[in-house]
Amino acid sequence: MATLDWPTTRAFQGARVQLGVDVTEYGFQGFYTGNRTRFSTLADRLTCVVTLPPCLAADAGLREGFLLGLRSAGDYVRLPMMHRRVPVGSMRGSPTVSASAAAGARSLVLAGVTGGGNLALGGSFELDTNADGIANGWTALSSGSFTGLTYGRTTSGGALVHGTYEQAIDVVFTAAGSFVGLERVYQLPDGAGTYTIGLTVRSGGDTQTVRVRVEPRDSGGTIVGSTLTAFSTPFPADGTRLTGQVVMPATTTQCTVRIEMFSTNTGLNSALRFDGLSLIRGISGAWPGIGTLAAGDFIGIGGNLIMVGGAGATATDDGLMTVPAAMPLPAALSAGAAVTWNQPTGVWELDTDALDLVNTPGGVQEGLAIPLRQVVL
Amino acid sequence: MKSLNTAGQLLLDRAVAGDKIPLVPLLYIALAVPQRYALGGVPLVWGGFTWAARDVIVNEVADAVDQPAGLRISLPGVTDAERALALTDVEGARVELYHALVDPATGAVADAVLRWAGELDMPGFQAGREAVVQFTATHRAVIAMRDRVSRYTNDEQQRLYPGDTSLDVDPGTDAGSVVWPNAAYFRQ
Repeated sequence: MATLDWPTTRAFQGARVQLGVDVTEYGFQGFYTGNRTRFSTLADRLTCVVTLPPCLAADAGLREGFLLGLRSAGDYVRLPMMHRRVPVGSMRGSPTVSASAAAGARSLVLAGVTGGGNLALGGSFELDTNADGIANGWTALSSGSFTGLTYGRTTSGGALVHGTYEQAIDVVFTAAGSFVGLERVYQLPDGAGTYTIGLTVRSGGDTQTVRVRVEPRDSGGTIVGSTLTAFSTPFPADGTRLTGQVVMPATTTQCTVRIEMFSTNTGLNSALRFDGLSLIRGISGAWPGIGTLAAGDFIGIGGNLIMVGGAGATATDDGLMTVPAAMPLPAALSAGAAVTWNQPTGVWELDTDALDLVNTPGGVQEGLAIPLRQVVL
Repeated sequence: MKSLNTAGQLLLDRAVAGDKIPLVPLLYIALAVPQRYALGGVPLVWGGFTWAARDVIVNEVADAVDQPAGLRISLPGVTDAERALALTDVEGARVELYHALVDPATGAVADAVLRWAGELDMPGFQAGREAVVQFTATHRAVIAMRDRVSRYTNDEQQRLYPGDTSLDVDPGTDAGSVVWPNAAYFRQ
């Protein structure tokens, strides 16, 4: 027995997908009340009927060869959900399972969840567990001469893109060319290439420069090439979204993003507020939103399809997301397991002993319904 | 009355209130290699063991006051290993059937109660479109009420109490002669 991929040839395209669930339960309905008491045996499985449209003789042969072979050999077939290939929610990137979960559980926790291809976890500066004024995951950096450096988070909102807080930095520079700011390391699963960084800012006090620089690094953490500058601009009007591109050189697998307030004047209070950091491969500097999964979205873990329950899910700024499962988890999940969101496939078995492959005069094969039932790996 | 622990009772209360709670039968068969099956879709952990998810059919358990019901167990009989179960000496192996209340949020077994206990009786299998391995099992109450035949022989005594020679006698040679008094004795 083998697991075959659903063919990608034209003969298998244009399918109509009828989705269902096969629920195993036993129960009782009260005669006098009509109330139902039901017990599950945790074996709920997705079912789907893939209906292919009529086709001509050449395509009909492909269908017959594949499907009758499937029936005879008892093979499984690996099939994505053709009607919803990617989540309606904004979750993209490379999420993983955050904590192990038992088979039969109704929820799971993901880590590394960001929205719309944004690689910048913590880009909303919402969480500050140790209350040091610096959002989780970020580290203070500074160079030169200054006094009164303070970090905090403000809620007044001139730069607010998402959530409740902006990151705030206040300082009095005492020498030109000094800078203060925050830095954080990000993984780049797609490696070298063009990336766009976006950040919404507001400012106050003495006029300074806001700049974002990037240090490309290899897998060992060594800087590749030189430090890149995404943008470096005098304090703009409040609420301005600054964007800039950097080209990561070959062998880059991670990078350090540095958000800096650079002194061009000295002696007065300087304040910088920012929010909504985005780091996206390609040319897109808009804030893509926080990672979400919508009800009915499919994710793949360990070869099994998991459907998101009706409540949907929204990630925290740190990329953690508790996902309700529409059906009990079909298998136990291990922490660290990869999560597939882009055309996740499930494994299915033919749910019928008979396939109606009807060929009519004129060399046309009639439409064909293929009942399938989810197999758990 | 079989009482549940607190977590199990809470789940049962939710079920009675209308929540759909997983209640999964667990089947234990004490073969040479103990078999622990969860009669549901996922493996469950309970009592320090993992109970493998298995397609097993257990017929309805319906006890009567004076007639404890037997159990009929059907396993898929599609592999050699499964059919071999029916051909090995399994009679007398202990069988226990539990019902496990499972927390629907976490998939963890909250509590399980013993529903039926007995011994395996006759194995068998059938091939064909529905290939199954079947066992019947006898309720422990039936076993308890069975007549126990004892012949009070030395062989049986040695099996029950090795080394005890109390029944190691040969009536033909070991018995002492019985001497009856003559008639004059009764005339005294």
